[in-house]
Amino acid sequence: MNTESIHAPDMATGPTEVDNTNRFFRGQMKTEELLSFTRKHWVTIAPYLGGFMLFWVLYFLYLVTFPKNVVISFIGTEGYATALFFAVTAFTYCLHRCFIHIFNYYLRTMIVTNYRVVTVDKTIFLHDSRDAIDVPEIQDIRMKQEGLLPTVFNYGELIILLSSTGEPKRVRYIPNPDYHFRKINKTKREYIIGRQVAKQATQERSIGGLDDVKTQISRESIGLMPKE
Amino acid sequence: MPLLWTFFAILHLFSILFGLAALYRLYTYIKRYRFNESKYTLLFGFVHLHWIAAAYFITILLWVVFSYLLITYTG
Repeated sequence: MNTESIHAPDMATGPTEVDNTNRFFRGQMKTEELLSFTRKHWVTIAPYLGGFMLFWVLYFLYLVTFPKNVVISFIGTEGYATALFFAVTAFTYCLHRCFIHIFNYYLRTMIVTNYRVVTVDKTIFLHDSRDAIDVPEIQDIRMKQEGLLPTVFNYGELIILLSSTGEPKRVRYIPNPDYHFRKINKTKREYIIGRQVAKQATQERSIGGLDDVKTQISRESIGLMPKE
Repeated sequence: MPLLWTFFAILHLFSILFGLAALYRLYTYIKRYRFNESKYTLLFGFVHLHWIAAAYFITILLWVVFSYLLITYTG
């Protein structure tokens, strides 16, 4: 005679599942966790920062030292005013270009999640492209830090070899490349281990199901009702 | 000279409109990418994007004033 086993009530159902959809970036999936993100090293905008400083130095130098009367004697007052207007136009252009480049620095990011590595290459007006590399597609990753400036200022290149295509994906001017190299390696290892655990759990469940079928067949063969 | 001032006004009007358009595009980006910033992700470890945006707009306005003074008192 079968007796139903009395199951103790579930004390806990586990932590509440968090929905990460578009939580930190557009395109983030429900179970996708943001592990790290980085921008390019500041050395990429150093020329524009220097240009901005030079802009103001030239402005004040002009106010203090420019031989205005000598120039007017050559090109006249109206010619001088026109030249000044062109100089103002050139400076206005440089001002906007400098700041737009600094904004573009903030827009270009590399995002590492538990599923993929996303590189966002975006500018304010002209350019918007994204490249996502799934973690299982990563065959190998290399870090390259060569030269005086990369070593002193601690930036380098990450070279990601993919299992699907022959051409590696290069991400240049990454600050602290050693950290991101280790991060992506760790993400890949955890993904592989997670997949192995999930596969093992699936196999155990299917074996458990097979045992139930075997039990049912053996019970029917001796005339017993199937076990529910 | 009136023609010069007309061009000057057009130049700076375009400059301000361009700055406003750039800031608008920048803030639509900020709304879509809401990262938790840290000293490892900010420019030089502490410069926030909002500061740069504010500096940009203030610099545009200051340059309008400075360039006007430049042309008026030295031109």
